Amino acid sequence: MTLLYQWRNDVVRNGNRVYVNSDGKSFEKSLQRTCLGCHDNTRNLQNDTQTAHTTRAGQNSGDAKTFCQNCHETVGVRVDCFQCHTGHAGNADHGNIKTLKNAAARAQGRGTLK
Amino acid sequence: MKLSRKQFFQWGGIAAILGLGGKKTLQALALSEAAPSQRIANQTQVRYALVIDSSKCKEGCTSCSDACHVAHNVPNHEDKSNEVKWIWKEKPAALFPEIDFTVQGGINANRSLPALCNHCENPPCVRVCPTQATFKRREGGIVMMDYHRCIGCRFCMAACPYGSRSFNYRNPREGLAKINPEYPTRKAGVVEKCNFCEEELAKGGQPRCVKSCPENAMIFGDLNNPGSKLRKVLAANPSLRRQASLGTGPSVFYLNRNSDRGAL
Repeated sequence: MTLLYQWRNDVVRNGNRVYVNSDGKSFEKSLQRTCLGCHDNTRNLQNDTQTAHTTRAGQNSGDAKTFCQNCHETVGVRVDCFQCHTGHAGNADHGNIKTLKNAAARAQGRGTLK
Repeated sequence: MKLSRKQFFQWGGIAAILGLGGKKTLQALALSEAAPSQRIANQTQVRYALVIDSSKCKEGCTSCSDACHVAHNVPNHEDKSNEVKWIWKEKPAALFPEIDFTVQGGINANRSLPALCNHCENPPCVRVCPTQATFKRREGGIVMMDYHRCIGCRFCMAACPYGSRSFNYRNPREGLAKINPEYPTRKAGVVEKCNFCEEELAKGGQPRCVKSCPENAMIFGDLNNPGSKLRKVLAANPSLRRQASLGTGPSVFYLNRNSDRGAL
């Protein structure tokens, strides 16, 4: 949740939409467009084997169908994210960080708007 | 000297008044008074603005609001009292209550024009929000909402002189035929408003109302850039801002002219 809060503030308040991890790989800071692509709580998957997601450290992060619930149920907190957020956007443009980076560069420099 | 209880409070009161009246205290009070508006005004470098050409906008056309409401999952409830709107059409008499267009000319009094959030330079909604759910972006000056923080107090709705904010009295998904998976919906109990298609601007695009207008009646750009097309249009044509005398500094301009006088 700390990461989600951090990303939310970055995107909504500051318009900073790109996260670069320690490997230099870029991700769009978006629940619907990035996170839920793997950790999808809203999708009903037929085959549970396809939902297992392995983290970089090699640990299994659990069944993706219940990724959020794993923690929330343990501590007795209701997940209310999906009252507003829908499932994974599944857009063709998803993860196209080049476009986003160009947009960020354009937003920095003035006078690019016609 | 022995002080009575009454004397003790009298002297204590005098001492407190003298202490508060000091130069430092007065300065601090003056700063806290001036801070909110100054802080907001100084934040913006790029300032996004919109020009609506009143002579081009067609009566009966709702392309701008349709495109916006579909993309942002704005519900369409049958009951008008639950209405949620980001951009809508309004008669000039309602947009500009100080001006009688039937007498003064300029904008055609009989034709509706789009109304939306004015993304004010000094937004009253931001000043009243108790949770900072509504804020003004430093870059671009867009007045935006963090729906996670909104507690539904509706102070912002009372503060906004343009009626640009809507409250979700019902679950918005009840009023949606189809949900656009690219954008979240809201839930019952929060206020919502236009965001100048911030998510499109981040990709280098334009607001959907501007893109979808079949008459190209809207121009979007940077108000602080003297070379922008928007500034050239504003310099060449007389324009109006809604209730600018209130000091909100609206960023939406309406060209004050009739189609009879020719296009751009």
